[in-house]
Amino acid sequence: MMARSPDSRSTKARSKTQGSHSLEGNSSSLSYQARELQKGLPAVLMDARKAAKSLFFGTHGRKSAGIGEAFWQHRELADGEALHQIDWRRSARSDRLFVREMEREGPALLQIWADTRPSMCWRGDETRPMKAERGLVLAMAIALAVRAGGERVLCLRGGKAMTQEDAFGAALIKSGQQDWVSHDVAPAQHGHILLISDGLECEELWSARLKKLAPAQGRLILVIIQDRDEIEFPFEGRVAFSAFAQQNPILIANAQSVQVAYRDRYERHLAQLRGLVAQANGQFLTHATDQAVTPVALQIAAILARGAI
Amino acid sequence: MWSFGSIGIATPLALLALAALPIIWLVIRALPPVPKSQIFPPTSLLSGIAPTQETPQKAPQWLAWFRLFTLSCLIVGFSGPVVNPTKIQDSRPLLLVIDNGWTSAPLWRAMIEEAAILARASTTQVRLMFTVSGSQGSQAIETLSPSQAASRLRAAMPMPVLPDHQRVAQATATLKPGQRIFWFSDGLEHSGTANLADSLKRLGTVKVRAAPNPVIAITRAKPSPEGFQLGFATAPAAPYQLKIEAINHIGQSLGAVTLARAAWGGTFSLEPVIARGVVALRSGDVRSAGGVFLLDAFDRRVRTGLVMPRAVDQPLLSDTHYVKEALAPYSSLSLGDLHQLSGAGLDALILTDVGQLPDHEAKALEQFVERGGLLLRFAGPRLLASQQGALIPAPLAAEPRVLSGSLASETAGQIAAFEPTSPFAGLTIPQDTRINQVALIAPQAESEDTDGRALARKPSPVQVWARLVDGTPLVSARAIGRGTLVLFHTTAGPAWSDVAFSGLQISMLRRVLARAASSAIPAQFVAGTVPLKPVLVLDGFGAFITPDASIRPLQPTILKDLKPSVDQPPGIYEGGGARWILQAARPDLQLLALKPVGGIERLRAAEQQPRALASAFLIVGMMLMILDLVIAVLLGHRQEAHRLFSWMKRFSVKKNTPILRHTLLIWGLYSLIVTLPAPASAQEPNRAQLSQDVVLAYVQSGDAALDSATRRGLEGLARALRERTSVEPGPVKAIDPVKDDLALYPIVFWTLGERAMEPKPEMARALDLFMKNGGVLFVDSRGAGRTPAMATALVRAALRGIEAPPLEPVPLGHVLTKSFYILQRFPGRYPNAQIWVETVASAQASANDGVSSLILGDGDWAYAWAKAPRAPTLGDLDVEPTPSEWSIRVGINVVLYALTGNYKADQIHMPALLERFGRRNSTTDMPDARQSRRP
Repeated sequence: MMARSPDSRSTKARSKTQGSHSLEGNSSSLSYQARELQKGLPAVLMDARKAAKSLFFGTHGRKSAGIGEAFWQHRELADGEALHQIDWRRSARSDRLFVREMEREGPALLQIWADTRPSMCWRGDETRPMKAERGLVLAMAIALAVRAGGERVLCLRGGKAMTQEDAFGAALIKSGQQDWVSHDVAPAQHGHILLISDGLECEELWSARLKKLAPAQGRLILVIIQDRDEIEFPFEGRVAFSAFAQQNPILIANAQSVQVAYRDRYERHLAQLRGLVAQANGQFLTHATDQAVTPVALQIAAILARGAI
Repeated sequence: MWSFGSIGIATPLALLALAALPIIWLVIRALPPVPKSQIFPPTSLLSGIAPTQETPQKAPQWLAWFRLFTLSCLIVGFSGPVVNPTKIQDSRPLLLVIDNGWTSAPLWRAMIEEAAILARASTTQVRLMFTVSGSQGSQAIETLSPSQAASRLRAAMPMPVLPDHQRVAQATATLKPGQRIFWFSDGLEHSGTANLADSLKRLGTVKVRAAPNPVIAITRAKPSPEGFQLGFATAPAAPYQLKIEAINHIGQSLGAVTLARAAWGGTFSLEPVIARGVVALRSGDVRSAGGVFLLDAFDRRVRTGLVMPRAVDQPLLSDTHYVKEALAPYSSLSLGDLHQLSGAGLDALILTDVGQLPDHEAKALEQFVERGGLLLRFAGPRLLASQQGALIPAPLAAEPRVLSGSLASETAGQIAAFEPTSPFAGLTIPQDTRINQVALIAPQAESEDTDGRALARKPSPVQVWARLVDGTPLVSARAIGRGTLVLFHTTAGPAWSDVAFSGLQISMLRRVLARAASSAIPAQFVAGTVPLKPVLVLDGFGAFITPDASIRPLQPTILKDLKPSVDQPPGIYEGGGARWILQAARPDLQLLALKPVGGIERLRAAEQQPRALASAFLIVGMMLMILDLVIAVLLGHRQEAHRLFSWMKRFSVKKNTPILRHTLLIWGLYSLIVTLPAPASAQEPNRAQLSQDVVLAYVQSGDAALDSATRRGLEGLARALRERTSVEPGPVKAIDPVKDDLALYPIVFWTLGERAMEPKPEMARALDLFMKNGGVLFVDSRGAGRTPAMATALVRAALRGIEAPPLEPVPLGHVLTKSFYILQRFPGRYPNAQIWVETVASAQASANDGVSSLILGDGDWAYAWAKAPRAPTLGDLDVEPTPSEWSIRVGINVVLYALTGNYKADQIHMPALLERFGRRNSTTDMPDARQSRRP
């Protein structure tokens, strides 16, 4: 049931907001595509909330297993500890004094970067959402679910913490705008990192990024958002390809003839990325925009859960 | 010119280009289509891939075939293919001889179309020779250009006269030999046909085209007791079943019979009730003037009532017996008593010697006469014995005059020859008839009448229609009300006279009864002096037309052997109380098949005329080229094309896709190029200025006084237009159609001078082109101030060489009557001026969108417009406009008609539209409905 509705919802919302020109205050620094994305943010949030509803249902079930939300463990009172820390009820059952230890106070940290640069703002067919849209839906769904779990969510770049959903969404879009190199970001010591991108830049760049990001304890997840056309290369005839409208196009006389070569090249690229991520001790996922968002969100959630947020 | 079979090629060299097609094939196939551009983020990945296939993309095979076909169409088009090419270029001038008598009427359409095609295909000048033409032989041969000849032919109509080949044969004497002659014959022999064939043979090769002619003529119609005894003249190809109709004066059929075609004719029986309205008998299926037999009132059966005495003891001696026997064959006779008959709606009543009438019967009779009936009475002892009252022309003496006996003279009782004004004029009087007793008009009655006795109503004078040799009135009559009272001063039977034994009485009775139907007497009996004017005439197809001024009246002196002519078509003519019927078909007419003439080829079917196919090929080629443009765009954007098609499938516009824009752009550009006018020439500096304003232009006549009058008139009209309408005319301009470009003027005025003057051929051509290109030519013959003949001659001369459309007086509701002012008449300088415009049918058919390209008037408006009055203020609205105000209104209507065309004709639906808006408004209170109701 969840398979199609986010896609269609976001498409609808986009077309609804297309005509309006009311931009938000900080939008002047954004590119055109980002502004369009921001206009579609409410729809993205709605989709994300829907996706988040089904997230962490099982993995966070331990809270209801009976151990208690605030309670972590009992331990014996160490010397010099304040008496008021003693859990008298527990201590009364035996001769020893027990201290009731609470759950760790600093919540786990998830840092998200969702790519919204022009290469993400593309789709091969009107029926599919743009890659950036799908990336945002995914990012917000994870963010909502994680926050609902009581953890902290931050933008990887800029460090904006998630308090209000729409402000965070806008911050995500904005932070996804600029290219970043490793020294721009400060990965938290115990945080998890979620990177969402199409991963089309060269391997060296990614290698440099990932090296720096490789976290000490947390998890690193790279989700590659793919358009079906990028995977299959369905073009025929004489086509001039260009990454962006301004760029010098690459003219291919018979697009069909390079289809196999392209697919090879693309698979190789993804394999290299996978290798790089593995080196950085991270997890590598792919998601095509013509597929439903829930499976990949569950996958991410499972990975994060294993990391015991 | 090459020709293979029925297809010829005008410029075969152009076909050499077909040899280049294989090369073009290679080029087309090699030429790659425009690459489509595709945004594709992983493009950087592509840069590493070496193109595996270097050979360029080939155009699809079907596209190559398509383009080759397009090119072939164009090449073949340029080579000028012709179907049915003329084998040998015949440079001899074409002479078309056309039988346009009424005998051609059944064949007319097909014949004229064939002749027109032949004329149009001619490469040389065309001479037209109609075998029936106007009174003067000078116009027998017309020399015209091929297209003019074709339109002249299409405008021609069969004449209600038989062809006169003798005269045409003489007319050919002026032509030089060496002609190509086509004779469109009606397939019948006429007077002088052999002569014509001979003289045509002398002039060149002659081909005769004579289709089987089914023409039928009614030559005789004799009244008989059942109806009419008919005689026919039929052409060999006439149908074997003849449908004969009785028609009234507007051509409606009142009754019809189908007769077998037979040499002895047939009988047409007609019910007496409808007989009264019958004006003619007509051959119903095959129409022509000869197929219409006009009936005289004299031939018409008069419904007569004979009042029978109550008791008859000696039938063979009774007066009524004689009357009954005399009239039965000629009229529908009803017998009965006075009471029955006076109310039966009869034409005439006959009273034999009847004495005293009861009061109520006398009154009924009086009313009958006053309402238009004819009362015929016979004298006799009983009449004289009675108190005669008002129902006799004049009071009678109590005793009859006795003319027989020993004292009577030799000549006593003989009837004098009838006077020419008498209804009996022309009847021969048998020598042996004698009147024995005659009733006399009382002398004191005559003197009393002359005294002018004070009567309530002064009676009309007594007319004496017949006298005895000594001057005694024999038949007297008097008009009462609308009817007539006739008295025979003897008895109807043999008691007082032996006229009853002779045929004279029958003839006299018939003449009297004819008066009941018509006041006019057949002119063969009345040698009048007054010319007889046409009342109803026939056209070539046998339809009744209202006579116009071109028909000459008949001179009564030469009626006997008069044959119908173009000036005097068959029809009914009346004048001076006399009537003459000119039948199209004479009683001795015979329609014999055209005899084959040696040396003249007779064509069985229409000759195939060359038809150029170049334009068809070129049009197809051009359209395919446009299609190719569209295909090229679609191929370049296959994805978008796909979207376009799906969009078209859904029949709804969601998004203006780029492909749609491209296609529309290409179409738009193409149509722009096609409709772009030729670049303006630099030699005319004021052209731009001219094209900005509406300029009233007039044709320079060369007569300085006339030109300045026209200029002043147009300036006045321009002033009125500026004051009253939104038209802002520029300065009036005099133009010479030969030199100036007429395309700049929406309307050109042309006032004709005093002398008939044919325009120069270039001028005629320029004006013709102007009219064909949508201009309006306003010709003012100033004819209302001239004699009709003079005006007609002027217009004819002026329009010679111009393909004038068929004209009619402005019909009711024509746009000209409402283009600005509502006008019913078109007064100019002359209040009775008329305007003729192109007939509605012709205007609809022309390229001018229903707007008449020629407006012809005779009111000398230029003179009237010179003093254009100010527009009447509101206060003046009640005042009847002055004549010059009327004429300026006419001018404004004419100019606005030229500018707005049939726009006002569309307004005819306005009331219905408004009503519809109003209805919607009343049911649903929509704001837009409210707005639209406001105007």
